[in-house]
Amino acid sequence: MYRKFLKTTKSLTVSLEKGLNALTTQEHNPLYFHGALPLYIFWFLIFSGIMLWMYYIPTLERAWSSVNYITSLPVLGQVDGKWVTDATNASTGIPYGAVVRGVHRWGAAGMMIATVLHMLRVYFTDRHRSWRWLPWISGVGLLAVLLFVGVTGYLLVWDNRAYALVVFTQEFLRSLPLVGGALADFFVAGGQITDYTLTRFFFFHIAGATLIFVLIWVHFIRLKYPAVTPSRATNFLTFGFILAAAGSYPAVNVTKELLEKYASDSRITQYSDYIASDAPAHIGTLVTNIRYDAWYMFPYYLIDKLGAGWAWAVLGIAVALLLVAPFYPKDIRDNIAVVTEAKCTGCTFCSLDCPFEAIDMVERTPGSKFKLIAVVNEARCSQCGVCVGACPFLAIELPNTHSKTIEADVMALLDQGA
Amino acid sequence: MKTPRNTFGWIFLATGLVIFYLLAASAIATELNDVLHGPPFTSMVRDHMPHFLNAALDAVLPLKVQNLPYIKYFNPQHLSTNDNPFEQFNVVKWMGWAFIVGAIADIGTAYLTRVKTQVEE
Repeated sequence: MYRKFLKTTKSLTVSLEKGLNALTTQEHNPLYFHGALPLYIFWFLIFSGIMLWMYYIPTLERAWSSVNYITSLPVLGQVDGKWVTDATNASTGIPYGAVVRGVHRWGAAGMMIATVLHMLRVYFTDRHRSWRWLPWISGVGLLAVLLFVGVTGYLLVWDNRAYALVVFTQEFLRSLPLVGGALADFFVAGGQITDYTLTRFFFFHIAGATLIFVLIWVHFIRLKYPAVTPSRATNFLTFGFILAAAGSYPAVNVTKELLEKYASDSRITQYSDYIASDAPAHIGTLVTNIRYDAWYMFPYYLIDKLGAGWAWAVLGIAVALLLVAPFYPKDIRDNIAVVTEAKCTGCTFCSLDCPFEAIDMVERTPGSKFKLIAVVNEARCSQCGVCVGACPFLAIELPNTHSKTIEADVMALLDQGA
Repeated sequence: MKTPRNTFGWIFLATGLVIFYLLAASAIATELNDVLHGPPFTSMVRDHMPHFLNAALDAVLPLKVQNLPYIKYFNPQHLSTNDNPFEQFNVVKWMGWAFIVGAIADIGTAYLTRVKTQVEE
Protein backbone atom coordinates (compact mmCIF):
# COMPACT_ATOMS: atom_id res chain seq x y z
CA MET A 1 0.00 0.00 0.00
CA TYR A 2 2.70 2.48 1.10
CA ARG A 3 4.96 1.31 -1.73
CA LYS A 4 2.12 1.91 -4.17
CA PHE A 5 1.61 5.38 -2.72
CA LEU A 6 5.30 6.20 -3.29
CA LYS A 7 5.12 4.85 -6.82
CA THR A 8 2.09 7.02 -7.58
CA THR A 9 3.64 10.20 -6.13
CA LYS A 10 6.83 9.51 -8.09
CA SER A 11 4.90 9.11 -11.30
CA LEU A 12 2.92 12.32 -10.67
CA THR A 13 6.04 14.34 -9.76
CA VAL A 14 7.94 13.16 -12.83
CA SER A 15 4.91 14.01 -15.01
CA LEU A 16 4.82 17.49 -13.49
CA GLU A 17 8.54 17.97 -14.15
CA LYS A 18 8.22 16.75 -17.72
CA GLY A 19 5.29 19.12 -18.22
CA LEU A 20 7.37 22.03 -16.99
CA ASN A 21 10.25 20.90 -19.21
CA ALA A 22 8.04 21.53 -22.22
CA LEU A 23 7.81 25.16 -21.14
CA THR A 24 11.19 25.94 -19.60
CA THR A 25 13.43 23.27 -21.22
CA GLN A 26 15.45 20.91 -19.03
CA GLU A 27 18.24 23.46 -18.77
CA HIS A 28 16.14 25.94 -16.81
CA ASN A 29 13.51 23.82 -15.08
CA PRO A 30 13.53 25.22 -11.50
CA LEU A 31 12.36 21.82 -10.19
CA TYR A 32 15.73 20.36 -11.21
CA PHE A 33 17.51 22.83 -8.90
CA HIS A 34 15.34 22.23 -5.85
CA GLY A 35 18.39 21.18 -3.83
CA ALA A 36 20.65 23.99 -5.02
CA LEU A 37 18.12 26.76 -4.33
CA PRO A 38 18.23 26.67 -0.50
CA LEU A 39 22.04 26.83 -0.64
CA TYR A 40 21.92 29.68 -3.15
CA ILE A 41 19.52 31.65 -0.93
CA PHE A 42 21.69 30.86 2.09
CA TRP A 43 24.48 32.99 0.58
CA PHE A 44 22.14 35.99 0.56
CA LEU A 45 21.40 35.36 4.22
CA ILE A 46 25.11 35.13 5.06
CA PHE A 47 26.01 38.39 3.32
CA SER A 48 23.00 40.38 4.51
CA GLY A 49 23.51 38.93 8.01
CA ILE A 50 27.12 40.10 8.11
CA MET A 51 25.98 43.60 7.15
CA LEU A 52 23.33 43.63 9.89
CA TRP A 53 25.92 42.33 12.36
CA MET A 54 27.94 45.53 11.80
CA TYR A 55 25.24 47.56 13.57
CA TYR A 56 23.51 45.12 15.88
CA ILE A 57 24.07 45.49 19.65
CA PRO A 58 23.06 42.39 21.66
CA THR A 59 22.00 43.97 24.96
CA LEU A 60 18.56 44.30 26.52
CA GLU A 61 18.69 48.08 26.34
CA ARG A 62 20.18 48.50 22.87
CA ALA A 63 19.04 45.48 20.82
CA TRP A 64 15.70 46.93 19.69
CA SER A 65 17.07 50.44 19.18
CA SER A 66 20.03 49.15 17.15
CA VAL A 67 17.65 47.25 14.86
CA ASN A 68 15.50 50.35 14.71
CA TYR A 69 18.54 52.42 13.78
CA ILE A 70 19.33 50.04 10.93
CA THR A 71 15.84 50.02 9.46
CA SER A 72 13.79 53.07 10.32
CA LEU A 73 12.78 55.38 7.51
CA PRO A 74 14.16 58.90 7.37
CA VAL A 75 11.73 61.63 8.33
CA LEU A 76 11.82 64.41 5.80
CA GLY A 77 10.90 68.04 6.03
CA GLN A 78 11.12 71.10 3.83
CA VAL A 79 13.46 73.96 4.65
CA ASP A 80 13.49 76.93 2.27
CA GLY A 81 11.74 74.86 -0.34
CA LYS A 82 14.32 72.09 -0.24
CA TRP A 83 13.72 68.59 1.17
CA VAL A 84 16.08 67.79 4.02
CA THR A 85 16.41 65.03 6.59
CA ASP A 86 14.75 65.96 9.84
CA ALA A 87 17.71 66.46 12.17
CA THR A 88 15.46 66.31 15.23
CA ASN A 89 14.63 62.69 14.51
CA ALA A 90 17.36 60.71 16.23
CA SER A 91 16.17 57.36 14.91
CA THR A 92 16.84 58.13 11.25
CA GLY A 93 18.25 54.94 9.81
CA ILE A 94 21.21 54.02 7.68
CA PRO A 95 20.75 54.06 3.88
CA TYR A 96 19.16 50.89 2.58
CA GLY A 97 19.31 49.27 6.01
CA ALA A 98 15.65 48.30 5.67
CA VAL A 99 16.39 46.64 2.34
CA VAL A 100 19.32 44.67 3.77
CA ARG A 101 17.11 43.50 6.61
CA GLY A 102 14.36 42.87 4.06
CA VAL A 103 16.70 40.62 2.05
CA HIS A 104 17.55 38.80 5.30
CA ARG A 105 13.90 38.43 6.23
CA TRP A 106 12.49 37.43 2.81
CA GLY A 107 15.57 35.33 2.08
CA ALA A 108 14.95 33.41 5.31
CA ALA A 109 11.35 32.74 4.28
CA GLY A 110 12.56 31.77 0.79
CA MET A 111 15.15 29.37 2.17
CA MET A 112 12.58 27.60 4.34
CA ILE A 113 10.11 27.35 1.44
CA ALA A 114 12.85 26.06 -0.90
CA THR A 115 14.03 23.56 1.73
CA VAL A 116 10.52 22.19 2.34
CA LEU A 117 9.88 21.92 -1.43
CA HIS A 118 13.22 20.12 -1.82
CA MET A 119 12.28 17.67 0.92
CA LEU A 120 8.83 17.04 -0.57
CA ARG A 121 10.29 16.50 -4.03
CA VAL A 122 12.86 14.02 -2.71
CA TYR A 123 10.14 12.20 -0.75
CA PHE A 124 7.59 12.15 -3.57
CA THR A 125 10.12 10.81 -6.05
CA ASP A 126 11.09 8.08 -3.58
CA ARG A 127 14.71 9.22 -3.44
CA HIS A 128 15.00 9.18 0.32
CA ARG A 129 15.19 5.47 1.09
CA SER A 130 17.78 2.74 1.42
CA TRP A 131 21.31 3.82 0.41
CA ARG A 132 20.16 7.46 0.44
CA TRP A 133 19.51 7.43 4.19
CA LEU A 134 22.46 9.71 5.04
CA PRO A 135 21.44 12.68 2.84
CA TRP A 136 17.87 12.31 4.13
CA ILE A 137 18.78 12.14 7.84
CA SER A 138 21.27 15.02 7.51
CA GLY A 139 18.53 16.90 5.64
CA VAL A 140 16.16 16.43 8.58
CA GLY A 141 18.95 17.81 10.79
CA LEU A 142 19.37 20.75 8.43
CA LEU A 143 15.66 21.49 8.56
CA ALA A 144 15.71 21.46 12.38
CA VAL A 145 18.79 23.72 12.57
CA LEU A 146 17.32 26.08 9.97
CA LEU A 147 14.16 26.37 12.06
CA PHE A 148 16.21 27.05 15.17
CA VAL A 149 18.37 29.69 13.45
CA GLY A 150 15.25 31.36 12.03
CA VAL A 151 13.54 31.51 15.43
CA THR A 152 16.64 32.93 17.14
CA GLY A 153 16.67 35.60 14.42
CA TYR A 154 13.23 36.72 15.59
CA LEU A 155 14.46 36.81 19.19
CA LEU A 156 17.36 39.14 18.35
CA VAL A 157 14.98 42.00 17.53
CA TRP A 158 13.95 41.95 21.19
CA ASP A 159 10.44 43.29 20.68
CA ASN A 160 7.22 42.18 22.38
CA ARG A 161 6.98 39.18 20.13
CA ALA A 162 10.55 38.10 20.90
CA TYR A 163 9.84 38.26 24.63
CA ALA A 164 6.67 36.19 24.22
CA LEU A 165 8.60 33.60 22.20
CA VAL A 166 11.24 33.39 24.94
CA VAL A 167 8.52 32.78 27.56
CA PHE A 168 6.93 30.10 25.37
CA THR A 169 10.29 28.43 24.76
CA GLN A 170 11.09 28.33 28.47
CA GLU A 171 7.65 26.87 29.20
CA PHE A 172 8.18 24.34 26.41
CA LEU A 173 11.61 23.28 27.71
CA ARG A 174 10.58 23.21 31.38
CA SER A 175 7.82 20.73 30.60
CA LEU A 176 10.52 18.14 29.88
CA PRO A 177 11.17 15.87 32.86
CA LEU A 178 14.58 15.88 34.59
CA VAL A 179 16.55 18.13 32.20
CA GLY A 180 13.79 20.65 31.40
CA GLY A 181 14.76 23.27 33.99
CA ALA A 182 18.45 23.12 33.13
CA LEU A 183 17.68 23.45 29.41
CA ALA A 184 15.40 26.44 30.02
CA ASP A 185 18.13 28.15 32.04
CA PHE A 186 20.74 27.32 29.41
CA PHE A 187 18.49 28.84 26.75
CA VAL A 188 18.39 32.27 28.44
CA ALA A 189 21.93 32.00 29.87
CA GLY A 190 20.96 31.88 33.54
CA GLY A 191 17.93 31.81 35.76
CA GLN A 192 16.63 35.13 34.49
CA ILE A 193 16.73 37.31 31.40
CA THR A 194 19.81 39.55 31.33
CA ASP A 195 22.14 41.06 28.76
CA TYR A 196 23.77 37.64 28.52
CA THR A 197 20.46 36.30 27.21
CA LEU A 198 20.76 38.42 24.05
CA THR A 199 24.42 37.40 23.70
CA ARG A 200 23.31 33.77 24.00
CA PHE A 201 20.65 34.22 21.28
CA PHE A 202 23.22 35.93 19.07
CA PHE A 203 25.56 32.97 19.60
CA PHE A 204 22.74 30.53 18.76
CA HIS A 205 21.99 32.45 15.57
CA ILE A 206 25.59 32.62 14.29
CA ALA A 207 26.67 29.17 15.54
CA GLY A 208 23.50 27.66 14.04
CA ALA A 209 24.30 29.24 10.65
CA THR A 210 27.81 27.76 10.87
CA LEU A 211 26.36 24.37 11.76
CA ILE A 212 24.26 24.56 8.59
CA PHE A 213 27.49 24.65 6.57
CA VAL A 214 28.80 21.56 8.38
CA LEU A 215 25.54 19.68 7.84
CA ILE A 216 25.50 20.66 4.15
CA TRP A 217 28.91 18.99 3.86
CA VAL A 218 27.49 15.81 5.45
CA HIS A 219 24.47 16.15 3.16
CA PHE A 220 26.72 16.08 0.07
CA ILE A 221 29.33 13.60 1.25
CA ARG A 222 27.87 10.61 -0.60
CA LEU A 223 26.94 12.46 -3.75
CA LYS A 224 29.49 12.52 -6.52
CA TYR A 225 28.07 15.44 -8.47
CA PRO A 226 25.69 17.43 -6.23
CA ALA A 227 23.94 20.28 -8.04
CA VAL A 228 25.03 23.24 -5.93
CA THR A 229 24.38 26.04 -8.43
CA PRO A 230 21.04 26.72 -10.05
CA SER A 231 20.88 27.62 -13.74
CA ARG A 232 21.39 31.25 -14.73
CA ALA A 233 17.67 31.84 -15.24
CA THR A 234 16.83 30.22 -11.89
CA ASN A 235 19.50 32.40 -10.25
CA PHE A 236 18.00 35.52 -11.78
CA LEU A 237 14.48 34.47 -10.89
CA THR A 238 15.36 33.81 -7.23
CA PHE A 239 17.50 36.92 -6.89
CA GLY A 240 14.78 38.97 -8.60
CA PHE A 241 12.04 37.75 -6.28
CA ILE A 242 14.14 38.45 -3.18
CA LEU A 243 14.99 41.96 -4.40
CA ALA A 244 11.41 42.68 -5.45
CA ALA A 245 10.11 41.49 -2.06
CA ALA A 246 12.76 43.47 -0.15
CA GLY A 247 12.03 46.57 -2.23
CA SER A 248 8.25 46.27 -2.03
CA TYR A 249 8.09 45.20 1.61
CA PRO A 250 11.36 46.23 3.26
CA ALA A 251 11.74 45.31 6.92
CA VAL A 252 10.94 48.74 8.25
CA ASN A 253 10.43 50.00 11.73
CA VAL A 254 7.87 52.74 11.34
CA THR A 255 8.74 55.23 14.01
CA LYS A 256 6.39 57.33 16.09
CA GLU A 257 7.77 60.46 14.44
CA LEU A 258 7.05 59.12 10.99
CA LEU A 259 3.51 58.10 11.86
CA GLU A 260 2.84 61.53 13.37
CA LYS A 261 4.25 63.29 10.35
CA TYR A 262 2.10 61.34 7.91
CA ALA A 263 -0.92 60.96 10.22
CA SER A 264 -3.29 62.44 7.65
CA ASP A 265 -1.95 60.27 4.87
CA SER A 266 -4.20 57.35 3.97
CA ARG A 267 -1.13 55.44 2.76
CA ILE A 268 -0.07 54.89 6.37
CA THR A 269 -2.74 52.20 6.72
CA GLN A 270 -1.50 50.62 3.52
CA TYR A 271 2.06 50.64 4.79
CA SER A 272 1.24 49.02 8.11
CA ASP A 273 2.34 45.77 6.45
CA TYR A 274 5.85 47.18 6.41
CA ILE A 275 6.17 47.02 10.16
CA ALA A 276 8.65 44.23 10.82
CA SER A 277 9.00 44.59 14.56
CA ASP A 278 6.68 45.23 17.47
CA ALA A 279 7.29 47.71 20.27
CA PRO A 280 10.38 47.14 22.44
CA ALA A 281 10.07 44.23 24.88
CA HIS A 282 9.19 44.89 28.52
CA ILE A 283 10.19 42.03 30.77
CA GLY A 284 7.14 40.91 32.73
CA THR A 285 4.64 42.27 30.18
CA LEU A 286 3.53 39.41 27.98
CA VAL A 287 1.73 40.32 24.75
CA THR A 288 -0.86 37.72 23.88
CA ASN A 289 -1.74 38.54 20.25
CA ILE A 290 1.52 37.46 18.59
CA ARG A 291 1.91 37.70 14.82
CA TYR A 292 2.93 34.15 13.92
CA ASP A 293 5.24 33.67 10.96
CA ALA A 294 4.00 30.63 9.03
CA TRP A 295 7.46 29.31 8.12
CA TYR A 296 9.34 29.55 11.38
CA MET A 297 6.85 29.92 14.21
CA PHE A 298 4.55 26.95 13.74
CA PRO A 299 6.03 25.20 16.83
CA TYR A 300 5.05 28.25 18.90
CA TYR A 301 1.58 28.19 17.42
CA LEU A 302 1.32 24.58 18.62
CA ILE A 303 2.63 25.50 22.10
CA ASP A 304 0.17 28.38 22.29
CA LYS A 305 -2.85 26.40 21.14
CA LEU A 306 -2.14 22.88 22.48
CA GLY A 307 0.11 23.48 25.46
CA ALA A 308 3.70 22.34 25.92
CA GLY A 309 2.94 18.64 26.46
CA TRP A 310 0.89 18.12 23.30
CA ALA A 311 3.31 20.28 21.31
CA TRP A 312 6.14 17.92 22.34
CA ALA A 313 3.99 14.97 21.28
CA VAL A 314 3.09 16.39 17.85
CA LEU A 315 6.63 17.58 17.06
CA GLY A 316 8.18 14.36 18.43
CA ILE A 317 5.95 12.14 16.26
CA ALA A 318 6.68 14.32 13.20
CA VAL A 319 10.45 14.06 13.75
CA ALA A 320 10.24 10.31 14.43
CA LEU A 321 8.33 9.75 11.17
CA LEU A 322 10.92 11.76 9.25
CA LEU A 323 13.77 9.77 10.81
CA VAL A 324 12.14 6.40 10.12
CA ALA A 325 11.12 7.26 6.54
CA PRO A 326 14.36 6.15 4.77
CA PHE A 327 14.29 2.69 6.39
CA TYR A 328 10.77 1.65 5.48
CA PRO A 329 9.76 -0.20 3.37
CA LYS A 330 12.93 -2.19 2.83
CA ASP A 331 13.78 -3.05 -0.78
CA ILE A 332 15.15 -6.37 -1.91
CA ARG A 333 18.73 -5.61 -2.86
CA ASP A 334 19.60 -8.53 -5.12
CA ASN A 335 21.17 -6.62 -7.98
CA ILE A 336 24.30 -5.06 -6.46
CA ALA A 337 27.04 -4.44 -9.04
CA VAL A 338 29.65 -7.18 -9.24
CA VAL A 339 33.19 -6.77 -10.55
CA THR A 340 34.82 -9.54 -12.57
CA GLU A 341 38.34 -9.43 -11.27
CA ALA A 342 39.96 -10.98 -14.35
CA LYS A 343 38.46 -8.35 -16.67
CA CYS A 344 38.97 -5.23 -14.53
CA THR A 345 41.92 -3.12 -15.79
CA GLY A 346 41.66 -0.49 -13.04
CA CYS A 347 40.80 2.25 -15.53
CA THR A 348 38.63 4.04 -12.85
CA PHE A 349 35.83 4.89 -15.33
CA CYS A 350 33.16 3.15 -13.22
CA SER A 351 34.36 4.87 -10.04
CA LEU A 352 34.33 8.28 -11.71
CA ASP A 353 30.85 7.79 -13.14
CA CYS A 354 29.18 6.31 -10.05
CA PRO A 355 26.80 9.05 -8.75
CA PHE A 356 26.88 7.74 -5.17
CA GLU A 357 30.59 7.19 -4.50
CA ALA A 358 29.88 3.45 -4.23
CA ILE A 359 32.97 2.23 -6.11
CA ASP A 360 36.44 2.51 -4.61
CA MET A 361 39.60 1.89 -6.56
CA VAL A 362 41.98 -0.18 -4.43
CA GLU A 363 45.49 -1.44 -5.14
CA ARG A 364 45.88 -5.01 -6.34
CA THR A 365 48.37 -7.37 -4.85
CA PRO A 366 51.99 -6.86 -6.04
CA GLY A 367 52.80 -8.69 -9.23
CA SER A 368 49.30 -8.30 -10.73
CA LYS A 369 48.99 -7.26 -14.38
CA PHE A 370 47.02 -4.13 -13.43
CA LYS A 371 47.67 -1.75 -10.58
CA LEU A 372 44.07 -1.08 -9.38
CA ILE A 373 40.79 -2.92 -9.09
CA ALA A 374 37.25 -1.61 -8.59
CA VAL A 375 35.55 -2.62 -5.34
CA VAL A 376 31.83 -2.04 -4.88
CA ASN A 377 30.62 -0.70 -1.52
CA GLU A 378 27.39 -2.68 -1.27
CA ALA A 379 25.70 -0.39 1.22
CA ARG A 380 26.00 2.56 -1.16
CA CYS A 381 25.21 0.79 -4.45
CA SER A 382 21.91 1.93 -5.92
CA GLN A 383 21.82 -0.84 -8.55
CA CYS A 384 21.44 1.86 -11.18
CA GLY A 385 23.80 0.34 -13.75
CA VAL A 386 25.72 3.53 -14.58
CA CYS A 387 28.97 1.64 -13.91
CA VAL A 388 27.95 -1.06 -16.38
CA GLY A 389 27.65 1.56 -19.11
CA ALA A 390 30.94 3.18 -18.05
CA CYS A 391 33.06 0.03 -18.26
CA PRO A 392 34.65 -0.53 -21.70
CA PHE A 393 35.82 -4.03 -20.71
CA LEU A 394 32.48 -5.53 -19.56
CA ALA A 395 34.15 -6.07 -16.18
CA ILE A 396 31.24 -4.89 -14.03
CA GLU A 397 27.71 -6.22 -14.25
CA LEU A 398 24.43 -6.16 -12.40
CA PRO A 399 23.93 -9.90 -11.77
CA ASN A 400 20.20 -9.86 -12.54
CA THR A 401 20.27 -7.35 -15.39
CA HIS A 402 22.35 -7.93 -18.49
CA SER A 403 24.11 -4.92 -20.00
CA LYS A 404 22.18 -5.45 -23.23
CA THR A 405 18.93 -5.03 -21.28
CA ILE A 406 20.12 -1.72 -19.82
CA GLU A 407 21.15 -0.54 -23.29
CA ALA A 408 17.73 -1.49 -24.65
CA ASP A 409 16.03 0.40 -21.77
CA VAL A 410 18.10 3.52 -22.47
CA MET A 411 17.31 3.42 -26.18
CA ALA A 412 13.61 2.97 -25.43
CA LEU A 413 13.65 6.00 -23.14
CA LEU A 414 15.48 8.07 -25.75
CA ASP A 415 12.89 7.06 -28.33
CA GLN A 416 10.21 8.39 -25.98
CA GLY A 417 12.08 11.68 -25.83
CA ALA A 418 12.79 11.34 -22.11
CA MET B 1 26.73 20.08 -33.52
CA LYS B 2 26.14 23.78 -33.67
CA THR B 3 22.87 24.82 -32.06
CA PRO B 4 20.63 26.43 -34.68
CA ARG B 5 19.38 29.84 -33.60
CA ASN B 6 15.74 30.57 -34.04
CA THR B 7 14.89 34.04 -35.30
CA PHE B 8 12.16 34.38 -32.70
CA GLY B 9 14.68 33.34 -30.07
CA TRP B 10 16.86 36.28 -30.96
CA ILE B 11 13.86 38.61 -30.93
CA PHE B 12 12.83 37.21 -27.53
CA LEU B 13 16.34 37.68 -26.17
CA ALA B 14 16.68 41.21 -27.54
CA THR B 15 13.27 42.20 -26.15
CA GLY B 16 14.16 40.74 -22.77
CA LEU B 17 17.47 42.58 -22.68
CA VAL B 18 15.88 45.87 -23.74
CA ILE B 19 13.26 45.59 -21.01
CA PHE B 20 15.95 44.57 -18.51
CA TYR B 21 18.17 47.54 -19.27
CA LEU B 22 15.23 49.91 -19.55
CA LEU B 23 14.10 48.93 -16.06
CA ALA B 24 17.64 49.02 -14.72
CA ALA B 25 18.35 52.38 -16.35
CA SER B 26 15.12 53.89 -15.01
CA ALA B 27 15.87 52.54 -11.56
CA ILE B 28 19.41 53.89 -11.56
CA ALA B 29 18.30 57.23 -13.02
CA THR B 30 15.70 57.60 -10.31
CA GLU B 31 18.20 56.79 -7.65
CA LEU B 32 20.75 59.20 -9.12
CA ASN B 33 18.07 61.82 -9.10
CA ASP B 34 17.48 61.19 -5.41
CA VAL B 35 21.13 61.07 -4.57
CA LEU B 36 22.19 64.10 -6.50
CA HIS B 37 19.27 66.32 -5.69
CA GLY B 38 19.33 66.14 -1.98
CA PRO B 39 18.37 64.19 1.08
CA PRO B 40 18.92 61.93 2.68
CA PHE B 41 22.31 61.07 1.23
CA THR B 42 24.25 63.81 -0.48
CA SER B 43 22.56 67.12 0.22
CA MET B 44 25.49 68.11 2.39
CA VAL B 45 27.90 67.35 -0.44
CA ARG B 46 25.77 69.34 -2.87
CA ASP B 47 25.75 72.27 -0.46
CA HIS B 48 29.55 72.40 -0.58
CA MET B 49 29.95 71.84 -4.28
CA PRO B 50 30.83 74.74 -6.61
CA HIS B 51 27.81 76.36 -8.23
CA PHE B 52 28.79 75.39 -11.77
CA LEU B 53 28.92 71.68 -10.83
CA ASN B 54 25.50 71.89 -9.19
CA ALA B 55 24.14 73.66 -12.25
CA ALA B 56 25.68 71.04 -14.54
CA LEU B 57 24.15 68.19 -12.53
CA ASP B 58 20.77 69.87 -12.56
CA ALA B 59 21.03 70.30 -16.29
CA VAL B 60 21.87 66.66 -16.86
CA LEU B 61 19.27 65.27 -14.50
CA PRO B 62 15.70 66.49 -14.39
CA LEU B 63 14.73 68.17 -11.17
CA LYS B 64 11.75 65.97 -10.54
CA VAL B 65 11.37 62.24 -10.91
CA GLN B 66 8.22 62.57 -13.01
CA ASN B 67 10.28 64.27 -15.71
CA LEU B 68 12.37 61.17 -16.24
CA PRO B 69 11.64 59.44 -19.54
CA TYR B 70 9.35 56.41 -19.29
CA ILE B 71 9.09 56.81 -15.53
CA LYS B 72 5.30 57.00 -15.65
CA TYR B 73 5.19 53.42 -16.93
CA PHE B 74 7.14 52.05 -14.02
CA ASN B 75 6.30 54.33 -11.15
CA PRO B 76 2.79 55.65 -11.66
CA GLN B 77 2.86 57.65 -8.44
CA HIS B 78 5.95 59.54 -9.64
CA LEU B 79 7.35 59.34 -6.18
CA SER B 80 10.87 59.05 -4.92
CA THR B 81 12.70 59.40 -1.63
CA ASN B 82 12.30 63.13 -1.96
CA ASP B 83 8.52 62.93 -2.05
CA ASN B 84 7.60 60.02 0.18
CA PRO B 85 9.96 57.98 2.35
CA PHE B 86 7.72 54.96 1.96
CA GLU B 87 8.57 54.84 -1.74
CA GLN B 88 12.30 55.13 -1.30
CA PHE B 89 13.02 51.50 -2.08
CA ASN B 90 11.25 51.41 -5.44
CA VAL B 91 14.66 51.24 -7.06
CA VAL B 92 15.31 47.89 -5.37
CA LYS B 93 11.86 46.65 -6.35
CA TRP B 94 12.42 47.57 -9.98
CA MET B 95 15.81 45.92 -10.05
CA GLY B 96 14.16 42.77 -8.71
CA TRP B 97 11.55 42.80 -11.46
CA ALA B 98 14.29 43.49 -14.00
CA PHE B 99 16.05 40.30 -12.93
CA ILE B 100 12.77 38.36 -13.17
CA VAL B 101 12.20 39.70 -16.71
CA GLY B 102 15.80 38.77 -17.56
CA ALA B 103 15.21 35.22 -16.27
CA ILE B 104 12.02 34.88 -18.31
CA ALA B 105 13.85 36.14 -21.41
CA ASP B 106 16.60 33.58 -20.78
CA ILE B 107 14.09 30.74 -20.40
CA GLY B 108 12.20 31.95 -23.49
CA THR B 109 15.39 31.95 -25.54
CA ALA B 110 16.28 28.45 -24.34
CA TYR B 111 12.76 27.29 -25.25
CA LEU B 112 12.82 28.80 -28.72
CA THR B 113 16.28 27.48 -29.53
CA ARG B 114 15.88 24.00 -28.02
CA VAL B 115 17.12 21.02 -30.04
CA LYS B 116 14.98 17.92 -30.21
CA THR B 117 16.87 14.74 -29.32
CA GLN B 118 17.06 12.28 -32.18
CA VAL B 119 18.27 8.72 -31.91
CA GLU B 120 19.88 7.07 -34.89
CA GLU B 121 19.79 3.29 -34.94
